[in-house]
Amino acid sequence: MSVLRILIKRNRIWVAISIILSLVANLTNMIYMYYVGELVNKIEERAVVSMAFIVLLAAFILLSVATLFMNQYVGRITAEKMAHTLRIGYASKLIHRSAEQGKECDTAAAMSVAQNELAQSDGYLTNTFFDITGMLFTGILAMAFMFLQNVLLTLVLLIPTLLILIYVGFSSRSLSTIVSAAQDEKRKMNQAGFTTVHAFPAVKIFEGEELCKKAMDERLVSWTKHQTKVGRFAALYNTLSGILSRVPLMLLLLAGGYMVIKGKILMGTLILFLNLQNSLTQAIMNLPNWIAGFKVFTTNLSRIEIEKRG
Amino acid sequence: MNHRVIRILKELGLWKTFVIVMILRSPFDFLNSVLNANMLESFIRLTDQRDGDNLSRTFWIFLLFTLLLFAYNASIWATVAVKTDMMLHRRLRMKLLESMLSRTQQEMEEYSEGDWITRLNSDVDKVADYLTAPINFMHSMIAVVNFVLSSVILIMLNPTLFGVSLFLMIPFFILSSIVIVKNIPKFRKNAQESFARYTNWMEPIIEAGDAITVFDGQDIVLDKVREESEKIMRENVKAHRRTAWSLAVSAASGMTGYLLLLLIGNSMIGTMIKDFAALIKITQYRGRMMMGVMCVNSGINNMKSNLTGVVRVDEILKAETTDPG
Amino acid sequence: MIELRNVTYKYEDHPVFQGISFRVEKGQKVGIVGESGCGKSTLLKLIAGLYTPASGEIIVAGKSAAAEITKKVTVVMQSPMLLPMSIRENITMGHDYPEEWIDMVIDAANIRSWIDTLDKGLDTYLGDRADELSGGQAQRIAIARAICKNAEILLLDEPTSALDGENAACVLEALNRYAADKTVIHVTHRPEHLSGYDRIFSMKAGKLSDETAGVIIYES
Repeated sequence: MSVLRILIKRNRIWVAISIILSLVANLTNMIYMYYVGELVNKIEERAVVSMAFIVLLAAFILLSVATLFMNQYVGRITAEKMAHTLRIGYASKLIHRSAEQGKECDTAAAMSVAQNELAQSDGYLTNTFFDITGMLFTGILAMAFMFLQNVLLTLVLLIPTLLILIYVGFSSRSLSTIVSAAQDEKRKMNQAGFTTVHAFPAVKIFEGEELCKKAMDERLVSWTKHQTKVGRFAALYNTLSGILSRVPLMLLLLAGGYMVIKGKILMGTLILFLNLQNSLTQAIMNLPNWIAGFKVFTTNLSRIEIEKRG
Repeated sequence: MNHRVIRILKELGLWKTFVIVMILRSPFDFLNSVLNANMLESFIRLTDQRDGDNLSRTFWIFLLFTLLLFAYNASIWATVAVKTDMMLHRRLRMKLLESMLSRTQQEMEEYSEGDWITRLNSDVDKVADYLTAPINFMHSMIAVVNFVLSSVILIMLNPTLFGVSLFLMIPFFILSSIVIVKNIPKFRKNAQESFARYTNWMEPIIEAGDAITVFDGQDIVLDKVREESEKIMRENVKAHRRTAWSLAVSAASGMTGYLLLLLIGNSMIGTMIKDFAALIKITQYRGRMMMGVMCVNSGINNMKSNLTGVVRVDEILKAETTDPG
Repeated sequence: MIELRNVTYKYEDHPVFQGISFRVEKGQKVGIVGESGCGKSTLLKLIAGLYTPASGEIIVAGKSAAAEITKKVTVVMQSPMLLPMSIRENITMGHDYPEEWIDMVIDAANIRSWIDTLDKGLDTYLGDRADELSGGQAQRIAIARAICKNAEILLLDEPTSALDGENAACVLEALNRYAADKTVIHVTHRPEHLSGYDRIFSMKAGKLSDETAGVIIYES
């Protein structure tokens, strides 16, 4: 985690702007959804929908789209800046290592880090990191907004969601163990490829092609065994998490339905919750994947040393 | 599917297996859409009719269907799909290694060590990602099935609202997923090439670090590395700007469409639409259509970016087939 | 035994050698000296069949096809180029050799005493790129691999360049003992390693000359 902290610290202005933009974009979207709930109430009451109200909704659509664009763009630039810091930090550390510590560089391990851990962390920062943090942020904000609307209905949604979180927390721990084991196997397999490339002239002279194939096959078998386990666990956890994520929606419809019937809330409020709960359950439903991905990312980062000075 | 990917799958003897997995997985999203739309319709209708007695019975019925549907998906995913994915990795990595080993030293030196390692490792991952990673080809196909079948149901439910939905979806889709994202693969390719050059710079840093230190060359080397890293960032940011535009256009389409459906549907309640619950069902199918389009849109972007790896892998495999030795 | 006839080699359309010819008889020991980057390693790779000439012909032990030539030679390179496998696999490269032959090889490569200290002996796993080995140990495994192939021609490409004086002497002693009845081409920038060689070629400033006979063989 310390590397991640350094990356955030060195790009703190970008990170701060991203957080502010994310907040603004999410709030705009939630207010728009609130007005959609109002529209539903008008439809249910068979009331006239005024032109001014339609213009207001249209204005919020425009505002939502604009803030979404800014949030996406700036957020991804921030992730790119962090990836750049990581790449430069690693190169800088390697260059200064022998002079500073006087220790020999383990070339195979360093090259493997450059090819695997660094490449994967870079890809994760560039492609996934922003989406994950953005979704989690949206989930948290949606929950806060729902609390402001109706505490009881939020609790109906929140309590089963918290149970899912416990399940997800438990399952992701088991998942991360096997993900880590599979990562190690993949690293060994990739290193086998690297040494074959590096020792290619010797392989040709001594006709070691079959030996290299055999060695690679053994490592492939070992990695696929671990990776199959990861795939199966992920399938099971995602499915269970998918089912469990459906339960809060159904409970929301059940409890919300009773509350509408008893006149405690309006249909518009229920529709608002239905629209917002998606942000929450979508975030939770994909949590096992995201946690596994984040674990891989932090495991990769822990293998990368970067220059502490910057 | 890209012709290169088809060629790779055929060469690995996995084409038929992949098609079977795809067929088995394709109905999931659509069946989930049907379940979701009917569930919302039932609950909202019962609520509107003040029928509290049947609410809990409906709850248990839909819970049972949910369990059955997810159990089906899990069994396909955990057995056939995972196995196919692993077979793809194993066969492709071996095939590439064999291709590499069948070359002469001279042919081998056509690419740098870093380039070979990238092809053997991360490019193979890109081929597998193209086919089976989330929001790539497999998800896109599942989304297409969902889109087509949800459209059919929406036409049957209300052709006018289907027309409105389509009118707001297709132009936006063309704009966001074809026009705006057109240059993303080019930017990604540039970024990847810069990353390969960055990795090539790492080689002397790692293997000749002492020499660089002795000759006081740290700053020059670091400047070169920084230059490549900045190129990666610049090209990726160009791609991200396009992605952000694409998402903004999709969001505009989604929000406008939903609002119009509610407003137009409101005027049809009691005539062409039975009640508010039926309108919600229509918005659900429209939402699923939209989700399908967005999934295909993102899938196309991801597939395009993974295609760079596919091209590089295919280049090696093709070279092997043309090599007389 | 080894004959180069009017050989031209180009790297990315840039000629490295043009029209080079010479002949090495069976059992002869030939040294090629020259500074780094003068092309002597490239010449050795051509003789080893790792590179194919752009024009001309290379005949090694009666064979002219690169793939056939490779079968006839054994090489010790600057880097030991070990694989993440056992010592045995690194020596035999996966080929079946009688146990007595492997015993002879480890004696000839002077690694018996070290291998005897390992719990698993020859079956000790070397780890990824064998980074835990000393340079001398790794290079002696590379020599054992070269001896194990038992080819008629031994090609040496700066086999001691990465070693300290003591290790270099030990490696050279093992190589000289094995190479007594072989045809040898030894590329090095240290002429003192070539004492007792039949012919010494010098590669300098674009010229390949036979120092022994005082004849310029090739001038670019």
